[in-house]
Amino acid sequence: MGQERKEAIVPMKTTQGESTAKPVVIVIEPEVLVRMAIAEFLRDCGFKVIEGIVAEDVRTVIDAGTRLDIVFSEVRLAGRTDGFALAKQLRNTHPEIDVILTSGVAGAAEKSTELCAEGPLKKPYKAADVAARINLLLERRRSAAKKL
Amino acid sequence: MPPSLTNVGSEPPPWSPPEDAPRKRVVLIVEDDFLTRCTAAMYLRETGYRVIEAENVAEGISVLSSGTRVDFVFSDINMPGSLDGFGLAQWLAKQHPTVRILLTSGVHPEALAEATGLFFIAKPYHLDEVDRLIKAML
Repeated sequence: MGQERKEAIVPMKTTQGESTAKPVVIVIEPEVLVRMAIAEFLRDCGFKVIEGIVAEDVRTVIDAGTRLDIVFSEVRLAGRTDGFALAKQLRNTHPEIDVILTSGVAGAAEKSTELCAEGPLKKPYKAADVAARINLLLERRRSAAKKL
Repeated sequence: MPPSLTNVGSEPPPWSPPEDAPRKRVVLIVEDDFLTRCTAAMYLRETGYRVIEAENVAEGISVLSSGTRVDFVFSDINMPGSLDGFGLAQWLAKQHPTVRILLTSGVHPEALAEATGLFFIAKPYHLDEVDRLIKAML
């Protein structure tokens, strides 16, 4: 259980042969089969993918010093923070991280339009559309960085 | 694969590996602590496995019952829910007897694991030792 965790486990930042060049995406999705499928697809696309279940997992990763480029999150999450609140928090504290929200609940995805640069992704989504959206946001960041 | 995630049809899902891609062994990690699960999963992926992450036994059983190929299960023992790691091992023995399981825990019930004939590694563990045990058991 959580309290059993020991620091002797290899830290995330120093895992063997980790490529720092890959864009890092965290997928926050409570449904294991959906999470498994989209995470595997994005890995095949060349992203480094971290799988989380609740919004607090994003904070844990950030606090561990791991770089995040994209958060792809379901709106409806267990715990104190839902996808909307997570997006708002990140916009304030880590504006360099892009957030893509998704939901199968009618109206929920539309509500997230103001929190996502390119609007929400409705479920069911095509995995390829998620990858395309991520690439679009990454390219936008790269272009903005070049202009500076 | 949930049909809601992609187009349902005769086409293979877009994440299917190429036919000539080397077949990776699939390890299912069942661990409720996020950082522990995430760290172990990343290490094992970099070692060459395909890794599926489950937060609890119910999720693990969901994966195993979905038709997803799993070659090996690496599971914590003490987790919330109606089944713990021992319960998962018993379920696995009945439903997927060819899939091996390695149990772990920070409360060191080695004697119980040994008494039930199950393989066990104590927390804190070194991930290279986990990899070595998986390779030996596969």
